[in-house]
Amino acid sequence: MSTFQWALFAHVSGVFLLVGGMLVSDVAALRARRTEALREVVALLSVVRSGDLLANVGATIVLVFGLWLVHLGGYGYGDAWVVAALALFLGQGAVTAFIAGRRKRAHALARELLAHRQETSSEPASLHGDEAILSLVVLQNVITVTILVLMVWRPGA
Amino acid sequence: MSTFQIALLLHLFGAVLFAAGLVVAGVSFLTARGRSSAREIAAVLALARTGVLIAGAGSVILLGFALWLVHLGGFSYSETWISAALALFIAAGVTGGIAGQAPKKARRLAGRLALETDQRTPELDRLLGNPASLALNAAAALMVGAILLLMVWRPGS
Repeated sequence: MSTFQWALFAHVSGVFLLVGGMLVSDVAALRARRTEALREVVALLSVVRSGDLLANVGATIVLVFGLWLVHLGGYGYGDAWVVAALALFLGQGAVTAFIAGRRKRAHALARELLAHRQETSSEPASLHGDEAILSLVVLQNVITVTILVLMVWRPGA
Repeated sequence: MSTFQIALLLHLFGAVLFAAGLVVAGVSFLTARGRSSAREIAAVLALARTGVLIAGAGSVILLGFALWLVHLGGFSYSETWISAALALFIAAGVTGGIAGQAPKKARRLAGRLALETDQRTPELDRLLGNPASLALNAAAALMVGAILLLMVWRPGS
């Protein structure tokens, strides 16, 4: 295998981890939104934290090996598709961080309410599952698909 | 975009869905093992089921467009790396299917226990800690990694 192929293998593995982590978080958070039982909410939002961790590891791998691939493939860091992909990647990171922050706060709130012997509450769900957050989740996934399109199409390359 | 690029994009989309679904299933199963009550375990293992469904949908897309790509790319189904990848894909599916039986039984048992005592039982612990299931899941994950390696390397092509 060539160095380029090894870097591509690592880059795609990172993509799997990144999207896998995002999906873990989204699936668990959407499920947590549908229950008011605080013990379940805490358990499900714990899974969200694991997903966020995986997504962070995946994003780091994707970025490092992505940048290396630009060099190895003889592309330019100023190529339009590379710049667009990087901008989208950063935008996705910002959206993901915002969503993760809300979910983290909801997790902390659910734990606190549970510590005060409360069994049910809709407060955590309203914190991490409102319409604005759901719209951002959709946006996050649209950005992911757009980056994938750019990676395959490479317009101008 | 060329027809080949569109098919590649959809193939990669399927691959990302497939891998992400497996990550959801794996993370959910591992997280469920650490939860204390049957209700929490049932809630977390329900995510694994969603993950398996996503992986299933991904595998159909992945395989359909992979077979089309072989045709579009002028490859042959008899080439070693393609036969090996297809064999590994089938083996990973069978291995993952067998490995998923213990978590499936655990989810059903936890669901029943949640309505009764809400306590973990030795039977539930046995299903969650099933070494054969863990080993088979690890083997299936390695096979998926090997398929990715073959896709990037394409030895002999």
